[in-house]
Amino acid sequence: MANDQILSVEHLCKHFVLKKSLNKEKQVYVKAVDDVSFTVSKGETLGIVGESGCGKSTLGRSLLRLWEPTSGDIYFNGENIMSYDSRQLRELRKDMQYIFQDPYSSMNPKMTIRDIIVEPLDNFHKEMSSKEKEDKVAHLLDIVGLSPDVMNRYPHEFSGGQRQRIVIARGIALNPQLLVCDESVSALDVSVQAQIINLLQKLKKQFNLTYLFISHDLRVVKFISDRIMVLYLGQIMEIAPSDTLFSDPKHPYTRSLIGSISKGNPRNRQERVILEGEIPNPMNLPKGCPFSTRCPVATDKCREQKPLLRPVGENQYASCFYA
Amino acid sequence: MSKTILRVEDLSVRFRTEEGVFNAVDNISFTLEEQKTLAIVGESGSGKSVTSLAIMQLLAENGHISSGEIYVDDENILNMSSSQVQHNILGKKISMIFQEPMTALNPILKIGDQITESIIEHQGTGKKEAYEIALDTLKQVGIPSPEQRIKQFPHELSGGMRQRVMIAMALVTRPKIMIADEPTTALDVTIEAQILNLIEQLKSTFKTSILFVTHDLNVVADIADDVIVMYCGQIIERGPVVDIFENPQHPYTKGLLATMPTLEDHKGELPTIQGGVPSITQRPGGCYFHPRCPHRMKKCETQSPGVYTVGQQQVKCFLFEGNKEERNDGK
Amino acid sequence: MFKKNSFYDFAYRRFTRNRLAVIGFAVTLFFVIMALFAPLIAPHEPSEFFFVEGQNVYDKYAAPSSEHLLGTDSLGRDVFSRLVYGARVTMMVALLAVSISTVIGTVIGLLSGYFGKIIDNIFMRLVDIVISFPVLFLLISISTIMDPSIWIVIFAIGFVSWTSTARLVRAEVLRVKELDYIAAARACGTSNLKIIVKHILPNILAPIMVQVTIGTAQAILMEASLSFLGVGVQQPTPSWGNMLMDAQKLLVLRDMPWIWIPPGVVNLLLVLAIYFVGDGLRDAFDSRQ
Repeated sequence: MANDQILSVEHLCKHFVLKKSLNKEKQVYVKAVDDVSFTVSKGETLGIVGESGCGKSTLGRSLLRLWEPTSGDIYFNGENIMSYDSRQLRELRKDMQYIFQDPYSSMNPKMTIRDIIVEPLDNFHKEMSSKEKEDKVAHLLDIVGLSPDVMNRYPHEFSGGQRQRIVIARGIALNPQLLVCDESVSALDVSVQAQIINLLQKLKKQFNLTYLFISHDLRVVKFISDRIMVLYLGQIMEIAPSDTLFSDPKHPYTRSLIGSISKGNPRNRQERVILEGEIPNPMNLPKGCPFSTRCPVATDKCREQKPLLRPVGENQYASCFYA
Repeated sequence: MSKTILRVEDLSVRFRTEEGVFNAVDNISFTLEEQKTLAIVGESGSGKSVTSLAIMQLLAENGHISSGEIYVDDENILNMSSSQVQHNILGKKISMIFQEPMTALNPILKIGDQITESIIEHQGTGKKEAYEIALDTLKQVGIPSPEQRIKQFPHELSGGMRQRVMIAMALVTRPKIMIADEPTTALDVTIEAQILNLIEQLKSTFKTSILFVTHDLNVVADIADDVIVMYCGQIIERGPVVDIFENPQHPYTKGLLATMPTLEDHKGELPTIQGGVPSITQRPGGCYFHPRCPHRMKKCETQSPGVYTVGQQQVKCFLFEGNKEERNDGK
Repeated sequence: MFKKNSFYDFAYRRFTRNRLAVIGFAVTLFFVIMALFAPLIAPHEPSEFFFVEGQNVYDKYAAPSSEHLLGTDSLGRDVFSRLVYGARVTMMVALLAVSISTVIGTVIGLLSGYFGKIIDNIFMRLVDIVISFPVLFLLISISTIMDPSIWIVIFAIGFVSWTSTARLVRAEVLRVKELDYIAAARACGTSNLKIIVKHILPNILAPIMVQVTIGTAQAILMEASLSFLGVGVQQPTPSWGNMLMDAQKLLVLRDMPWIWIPPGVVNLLLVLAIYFVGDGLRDAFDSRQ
């Protein structure tokens, strides 16, 4: 098991300081990611779901050290990348890539498609001639389903789906092992979303990729993931194989999350599970379980003590005293 | 049959842009019955939001209604003067809730002031009475401790709370029609469920009709009575919600429903519709959907199909040419 | 289909549709041509002294005539010729000074905004110091210590006016820095220098261009005031500013408008025209950002 782990995250925290103060006691933090540990196997797709402010994007960016984590360790292929200096970190970019939510804003509007896709090659393959690079760009465009003729055009000339294809082409240019997809299909039209999901699935097989798939859309995550991690206020609530998570969710938050999505069947409008209340202010977290303020089964114990993530089934872990 | 409360006939909306003049909404007709929920569903550029903005007369400066009629309670509001519409229709008979309540609320006014303003304006009540009504409405939309919330500014509330305030503002005047433009798109799933529930519940309390604009078919399945599917400014299919979901006729509707990932167990490949939605400046000739359509025929490339009846549905597609043709888009 | 980056295409179209901006551009162009072809346009040398016919006396304060279109000044030089040559000096001073301030301001703004923290702190305090510096006092002291020269004026204006560019660039960098494509560039291993040059600079060029036009107008005004006070461009080199020096005499101000109205008017016209161009550019760039 340990050998095919590509990523192992231990006690990762990312705190944003809102109010600086020399007196540490008086500093105001937002704990966007709070003591998160998990592993990802080679060739797996791990879905990360949660509502806004749950820290899923922060987690994604911290994993690549695009944002510097506050504490914790990240092992990539057995090496702790937290000890990397900026040079080693740059080398690491070859193996870990990030696909952003909004393909438009993740491309420099003043650059042509060729320049955009060639950039990672320029950075790491200085030995390639410009002809070779051009061929490589054409090949990458072909892989993501675009014609090489588009090379001289600018991002704004493309539709959302085409842009996401271009961004994906850039993402796989260096043959990475791990791809973090941050809401990569959320901004797309429904009819285009399916195309991109299929493309991601195809690439995964073709290049033996491992995905971290971050999304707020449970249906998409369910479809694409092997395992799913549910985040709430920066902490893992539950992590389980995706079928198990949907058929037998153990954490009350997972249950309400699944219950609150529509079944998409107008004949059978079962009542949605309504989770009362709102997500608490992340600056002012509840003392015990972060979900205790909204949890239908919370007890005094939940409000006082923080439950730890523990096994609750086969490959299934939840942080709840009553799971 | 229940009474028709909103009737839109042959509505077209034009936009002037740097690249020319374009029809964002192209000759659409529909009706909304009393106490029903009609969903307009479509992707980007389908004209669904423009339709609702046109009814509210909130079109951007470069857009205008180029033809058509909009009847509210059998009165054509396009024949009224703008002050008449302002006083008698908007906010009174029709009100609207928006996708992003933060931008739709005035950031420098307290919640209470924003609600009472519209009450005083439309109902001519005194300040004190208006305050009472406001408080009462906030309670009805499920805002906890409304006495405190009424004194707060929009930025002090969460997204879900702001949307509740928007709904309260839309409801204080007891409108007959409520237009909801993607009211839950910006919200989290658990909050979305709360808001949809609230809208359903208020609809029966206040006997309001709802025009619900969204891109999300799952939301449609949960709340609509009737559905209009729009593509590139045109209505391509309409019908009762159950028929649309169980027996979609237009290739586009079929494709849309098939491409949605469901919670049911299936891995592998999702069915797709090829290509993307054409931008308003690059719409193809003939049927706008033909470049993406798996069933396209020769004439689809040059002619725009008529509207044909299939069971309870109306479909704008040549595949159903043998069926009875509607005279125009309307019912 | 599109060969050029259509951002600038769009801006060009919007700019040409703005009537004031186009007029401003035409007026500016007119003065630029005047400066470039000064020897062809001016009937006399700018520093040539004219004498009253048959006498060994300067033809001072001569009223406009066919010989001297705008009359002569207090030393008997042709005002029209000085005006034409003055355009050269004025524009050269302004353009060189703006080049200096733009380079300094852009570099400091980029570094300050991109790296933040201590670098930002140091540069921004430097900006505060420069802003609070008494320019006039500095220039008067320099011109009394050193031989006054046109280069001192250019460098002085350049070194005191980079602060607004630096602040603008810094603010723009802070905005652009947070965009996903910067993160995307970092994620694919691009170095800081390359990010600044390839990703940030091209995307903040538009506001810098606006700042350059406005800076040019301000430099022209600054040159005029300095020269008017005698610490700017020195005689006999003509500039629109030092041509106004004659107006310090009450007699000239009251009775000889041909000496001070023309340089005053062209100064006003050019500055106004450049401001119109600047506003036009701002609007043209604004639409798609």
